[in-house]
Amino acid sequence: MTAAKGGLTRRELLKRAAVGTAIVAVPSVWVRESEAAGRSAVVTRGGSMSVGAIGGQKDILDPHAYYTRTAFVGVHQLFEGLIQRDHRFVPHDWLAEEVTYSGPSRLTIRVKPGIEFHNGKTLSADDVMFSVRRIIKLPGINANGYASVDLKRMRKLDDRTVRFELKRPDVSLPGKFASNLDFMVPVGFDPKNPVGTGPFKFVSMTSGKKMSFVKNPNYWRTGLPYLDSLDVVTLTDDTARVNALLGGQVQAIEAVPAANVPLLQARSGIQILESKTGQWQPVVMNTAKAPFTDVRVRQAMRLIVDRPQMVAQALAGHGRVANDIFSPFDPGYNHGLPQRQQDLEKAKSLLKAAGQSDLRVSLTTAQIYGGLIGQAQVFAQQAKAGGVTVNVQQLDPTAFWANWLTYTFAQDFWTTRDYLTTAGLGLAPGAPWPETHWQNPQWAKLYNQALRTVNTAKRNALIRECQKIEYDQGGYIIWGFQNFIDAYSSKFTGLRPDVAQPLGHFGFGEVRQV
Amino acid sequence: VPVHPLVKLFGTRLLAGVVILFFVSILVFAATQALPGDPARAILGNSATPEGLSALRRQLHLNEPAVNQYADWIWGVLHGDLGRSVGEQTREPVTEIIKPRIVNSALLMLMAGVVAIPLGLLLGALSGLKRDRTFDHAFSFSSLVLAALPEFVVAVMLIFILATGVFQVLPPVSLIDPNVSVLHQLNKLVLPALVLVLAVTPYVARMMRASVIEVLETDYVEMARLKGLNPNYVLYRHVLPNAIVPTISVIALQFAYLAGSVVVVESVFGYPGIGSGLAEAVTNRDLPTIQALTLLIGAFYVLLNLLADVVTIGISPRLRTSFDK
Repeated sequence: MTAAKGGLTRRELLKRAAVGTAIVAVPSVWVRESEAAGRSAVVTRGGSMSVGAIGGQKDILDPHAYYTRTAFVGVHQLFEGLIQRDHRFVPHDWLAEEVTYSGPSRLTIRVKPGIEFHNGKTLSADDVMFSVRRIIKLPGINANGYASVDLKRMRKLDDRTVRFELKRPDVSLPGKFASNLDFMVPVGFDPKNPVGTGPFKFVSMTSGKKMSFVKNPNYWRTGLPYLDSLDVVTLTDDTARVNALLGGQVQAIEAVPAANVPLLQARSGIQILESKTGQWQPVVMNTAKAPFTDVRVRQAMRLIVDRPQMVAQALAGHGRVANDIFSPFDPGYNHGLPQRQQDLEKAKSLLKAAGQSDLRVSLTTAQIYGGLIGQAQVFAQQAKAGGVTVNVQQLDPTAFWANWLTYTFAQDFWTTRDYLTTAGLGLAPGAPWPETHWQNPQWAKLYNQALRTVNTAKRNALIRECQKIEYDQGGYIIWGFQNFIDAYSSKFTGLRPDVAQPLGHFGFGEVRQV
Repeated sequence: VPVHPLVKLFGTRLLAGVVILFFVSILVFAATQALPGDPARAILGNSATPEGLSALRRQLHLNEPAVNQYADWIWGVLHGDLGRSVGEQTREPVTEIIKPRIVNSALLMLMAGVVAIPLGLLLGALSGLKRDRTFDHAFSFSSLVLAALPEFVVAVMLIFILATGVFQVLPPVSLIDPNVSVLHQLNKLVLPALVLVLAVTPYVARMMRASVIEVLETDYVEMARLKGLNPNYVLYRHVLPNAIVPTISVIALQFAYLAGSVVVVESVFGYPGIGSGLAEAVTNRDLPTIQALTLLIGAFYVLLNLLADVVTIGISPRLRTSFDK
């Protein structure tokens, strides 16, 4: 029952999604979108659904600057990107027909023909350029992921084709187009009239309460959507959200607290949708502040954690153990590093060598994400066994964000992204969220090299080297990846587990009545 | 011009109320200043640039001394201007935000009051008249249990019994359709109102019971009985009117207390009233809205107490006549 969560989401969301996820596949092998929907012979059409999501006061249906999770759900019904990831995180051309690199500094994108916006306008190169310009220029939003784009040299080659000249080699750029803040809007877009290309059209919205959508009859994926209409309802309180599903007021909810899973499973008419993800809630060590300036202390803290116990207790078993490195779904993820396990003796000897045998630290935390406080408490208990006194200091979420990035020892949460994007946000020189303040010239060199390496195999080898350095010296304790748990009525089908976003990546365009 | 003592009394009370509200306003303002966190950052989010933050702080007058900010605010309040919300980028006037919420909360409290007060009076009177009989014991026990349970526990139990578990007859969450008048979706008010009824009734009833018992033991009731007056006449003419008087102030206090419990109850049911509005405003560091709502609840409290005094004096013969001398 965290009222705080709702208010915080706008910031969480910005943090989660302000910069996109980079796709690091060789451009020449972009997988073609071929999954034509509505293939199966007999499907039930029609019907409507209400979805309960965590929200806040201000819903804005702007695909480049949304603030609440409810708006996030809505934005995914109205808008689409040039590239979209499937449920296993594999990128596919979506509104784009072709994405081609000619060298690491020149990118050409052609959109599919005949895709209509909700207002009847056909998607063109002008819309793509308008959208990219809007994403980069929108005030208040950090468009850091687009630093390599040179807007002055962005050119329209023909009615459907745009060429981007980059200021520096950046093969991660197409991935930005697959992120959740980078959807295409028509020229002259105004969020008050949120017109996109998505499966549902906007009807009405009362900020902080409810938004309504109807079927887009001219949707380009023929046969979709099945539902006639969709409502998104703000249900921030965990208990209220679960109750609304139980009472039939909504037919789908996101973020089911782990404690409520057995209750929902016992009820007929409700199905649980659990997804393995790349979501991580690290313990963050600020490498610029004592005692974490000493790599021995950092490694000792990593050895103190009992990861299986963290997953079992703090995540109630709904997750997987991690290895202090992120982006498990990235093709470059380093699977070769041995799984780090609790080793209290080694931790104690490292601390002793660092002159920190009686280490006392404050772990700054806040209810900025479900379950974080519980994780901090389990972690503190484990640390005690290793001779380290961790004093959990809980702040109010707003207060936590006010001094974020300055703490010595804190918690945080990150969503599923690929490696280069995540590293660009948190680790690279000039990163916007450098919470570990980790500076490693060797790592930076490898990272920059990866950004300019078009060859996948070579790039992935560089990523593995980067992750090895993080594994040996970094400032993150990444002990686990958390599952998403959503639930929806058995009268509906079509939501599939997704590694990156809840509710099957908000895929209500493919939901139908049983 | 001679002033009627009653008028004088209410005049002083009213004046005292205004003074209290003035102090409340200072307290509220100081409390919101002490809240950790920065509204500018709350609005702009983590990706805000330092320039953007300082520009917004200037725009919101956050850099000015607290005394000036207070003076600006209270001047506005006195002129009916509660400022603009800082919880949303659209920066709507606070009055626009809280108006529908006040209506919703008032409706909820009204529904609860209309049921709880007569019910409490009736149960209390019955219990007092049937003192030490089975009904009285059952009543005493259950009212104690109810009074001891926090509202959210009662709420969760009622949701389970009436909405999600045993009987699924009422909506568990008050998802008020903003496009339709609340009066057309009263079923969504039933559960939260019921929780408030269960929170208030025991207090009213217990007070009524105690006062009925007390009045029954007074000399004048005994005298009336000895004179052979019809027992019903004694009951309605002497016992109940006198027993109700001390209950009035409990009712008023309970209503003032309701203004606080709606925060919890509205949050549990997601009911869009002043309570959930206050909770949201705190999370969003929407200082003008927090200030307006707390001041409103304070004013409500003061007003109810004043009202309790008026009604008590108005219906109690002894007090009323003492002013006529």
